Amino acid sequence: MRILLFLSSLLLFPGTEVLSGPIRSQHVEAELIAEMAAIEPGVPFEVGVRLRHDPHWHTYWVNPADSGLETTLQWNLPEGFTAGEIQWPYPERIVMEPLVTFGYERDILLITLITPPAQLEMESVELAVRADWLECKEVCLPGGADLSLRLAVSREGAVRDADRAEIFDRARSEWPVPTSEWELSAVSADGRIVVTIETDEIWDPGAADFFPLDTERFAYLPPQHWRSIPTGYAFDLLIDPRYRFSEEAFSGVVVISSGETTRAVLISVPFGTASGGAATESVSGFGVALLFAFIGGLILNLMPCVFPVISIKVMGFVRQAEEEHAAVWKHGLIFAAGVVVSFWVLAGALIALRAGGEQLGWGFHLQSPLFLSGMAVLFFLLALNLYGVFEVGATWLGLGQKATGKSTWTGSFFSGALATVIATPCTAPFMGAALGYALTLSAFESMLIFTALGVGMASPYLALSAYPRWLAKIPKPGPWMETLKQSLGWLLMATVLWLIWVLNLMAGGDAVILLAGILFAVGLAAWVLGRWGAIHRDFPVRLTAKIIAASLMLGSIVAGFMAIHQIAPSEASGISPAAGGMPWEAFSEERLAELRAQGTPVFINFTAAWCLSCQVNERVAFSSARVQQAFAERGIVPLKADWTARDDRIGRVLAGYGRSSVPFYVLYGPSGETVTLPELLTPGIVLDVLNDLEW
Amino acid sequence: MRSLMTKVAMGVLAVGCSMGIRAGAEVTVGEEAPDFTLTDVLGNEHSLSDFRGQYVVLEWVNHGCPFVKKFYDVGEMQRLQEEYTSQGVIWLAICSSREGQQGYYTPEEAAQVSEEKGAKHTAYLYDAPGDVGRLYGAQVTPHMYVINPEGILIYQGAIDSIRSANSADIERAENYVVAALTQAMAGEEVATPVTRPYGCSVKY
Repeated sequence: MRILLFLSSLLLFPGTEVLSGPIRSQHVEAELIAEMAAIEPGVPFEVGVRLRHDPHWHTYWVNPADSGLETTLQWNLPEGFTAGEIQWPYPERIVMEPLVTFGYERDILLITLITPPAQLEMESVELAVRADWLECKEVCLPGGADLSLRLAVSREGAVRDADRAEIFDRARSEWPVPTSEWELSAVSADGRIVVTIETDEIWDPGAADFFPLDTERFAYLPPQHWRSIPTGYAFDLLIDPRYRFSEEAFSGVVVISSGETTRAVLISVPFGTASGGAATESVSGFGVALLFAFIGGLILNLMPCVFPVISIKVMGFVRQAEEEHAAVWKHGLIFAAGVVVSFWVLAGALIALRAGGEQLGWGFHLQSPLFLSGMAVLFFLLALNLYGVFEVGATWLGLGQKATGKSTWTGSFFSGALATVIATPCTAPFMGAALGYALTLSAFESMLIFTALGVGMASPYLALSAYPRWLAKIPKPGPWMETLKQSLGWLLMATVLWLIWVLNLMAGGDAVILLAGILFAVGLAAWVLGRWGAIHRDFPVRLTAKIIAASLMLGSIVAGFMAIHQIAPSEASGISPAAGGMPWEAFSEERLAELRAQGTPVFINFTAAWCLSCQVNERVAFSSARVQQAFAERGIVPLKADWTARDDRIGRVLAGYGRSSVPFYVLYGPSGETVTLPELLTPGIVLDVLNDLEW
Repeated sequence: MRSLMTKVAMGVLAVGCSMGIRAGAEVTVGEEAPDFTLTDVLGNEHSLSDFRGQYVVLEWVNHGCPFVKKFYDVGEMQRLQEEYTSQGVIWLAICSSREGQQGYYTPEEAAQVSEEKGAKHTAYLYDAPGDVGRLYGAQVTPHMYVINPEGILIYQGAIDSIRSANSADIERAENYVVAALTQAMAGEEVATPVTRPYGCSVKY
């Protein structure tokens, strides 16, 4: 058949002739072919070197990546002819860990544009090319061929060869093409580059891959973590640390495969200022982020989970009102230092762990059953202390047991630290964006953000310390304080209850029973200490009581914690849907992509059991019948991404939205529009958002 | 999850000094080259630290690889090895080919191949588990590294400037290893301390 066509073209254009024919190296067959049966003087035309690979053998793309060598073509053309660059089809990723190369196992056509001179006297011209490539499977062999082709010259216009034209059209469909539908930007932080593609298009981010054209910049093996973000898509690149890094724009090819079809897009990515791109969302610029962090810290004081700690601090102030001004001011400063230093420790740990590749977010320490149990024991003891079951000599909470006793400096510091630790799961409004932004910055800058957060949280106390006159209205210490103390104890007990509830969701009923056992033993120890360890007892009695109490406490905590540690986080951890509530489905990136591809509106609820704001929203907004009805009417599929236990996938998805904390709510409309909702929801807020969309 | 608290504790300790943690080890020019110990064809152990005070060249080798043949078949690699070892430079050929993969030889075979090729390296070292190759981020054969007498890595990358498997290109190419050694020995900065290596993939 081919011979026939070839012969027929010979008959029509006696000058057209394949001189070399296909040439085989050991595992690759090469052939020079032309789209035109005859060329016209002065009119550019395309020729191509066709490479056919034996199964599993490959040759390389223009950037071969970790090893290999790009195929080269050296043209030998008649006088006046010029050849352009190779038009590379999109490459394939060939992984042989720890190395990655970019090349082709499929058959390809390397097309080059040839421009003939305007004046051509000859009846036919000969084009010759030296092709050199490296062919590899596990081993590599250099391959090469001298290929040539004779083409007829027609002065009546070029003539396409229908059979060949089809091969060329197919090859051209594999060219990466630029698109105006994508808005691209990149931000760099800690050796990582986050690339965002703003687009209304919908495709599966799991089927996308990026091939950098720049050779000396990126490490090719690390996964790119493609994900959906409200404004489009995002992925990560790791900088190759061997080369000097600069924030110059880079280019490459995005390949998106869906079923039989593959789309290749040529992109050029500029580095944005921090304000560009979805990674920073509504926070623009470092100063604004600092301000938001400060305000967020202030508001943190009003969050439900901080309340017990506030109550303790208020007690401290009531007592401090009695002290000299200078001492009060110093207490305030030390409390603030306690807050800020603990923010540093938590943020530093978070940054270091993330640098080590962990997908963690703010509040991550509450994802550990041991930490939860520890907090429960601590709060339980504090509550018993407030009830007066036992007393501790040094008032380390800054809560003097004796009304006239001096509060200690360490007490102030630790109450600051305690306030911070317990406050972190409460993501205040504004803070989600600020923290997400903070974690994309350099370590130093993100520490500054966390400092602003700490200062914000401590500032009301600093203000009170600076102007103790504001406290003058508080009555003199007296028996009423004992009543207040004991009632605050119940707030702490409520906190213990909350922690137990979270533990139950995370690690299951066995862990809760173990914790209850620990609390029992710790309570017993506290009672022994209070009953026989008090100062009016004889020394031997006190000593025995203390030894018994200490061994009870330590023994139960050590044994209990080891047992809790043994319990694997329950697989079915999660927040069970409230009866008759929202019909939540479990979130997955695949499910999201599927729904979006169908044009189904989707609502995603990023939540965690330890996140109290999330629970409040759950009870207030999502259990509202009107909200549920509005969702049902609009056919919105509610997805729940539960981050109670650590889940790297959810962590990554959140990071794609520029967030590192929950709660976070995002709504996708039927035509791809996205809306993020505030961190604190009421039915009204949700309904307003839905009504505004008008679909 | 279970080890999270341990990690948190480690993380706290690591704050400030661990910002550069990355997946995959790679060496950096201007920093100390990591030490390693490998066995040669005669069963003798060699450690990088044994050679403190001398220039050390590391050459990732696989005699089945056409890019390695490019330099051995015309005697270029042997010439470089002889020239520099005679000046007191330590030249270590390292083979990270896994057992059964191209370039892997038994000690006897390796000794024989080196003999046939007339190799003049200081030692031919086995790295069949690929640990040292991964430690140095060796991607290809030949992937070259130059370490100065203070143990600092001063060059890593390709052997020369023309990316091909054709011996005829050697003459026209700039040899980066020669340039690095010449400049460093003259007390100058190495002008091109990092290049993109080319060659066959290391057969890990």
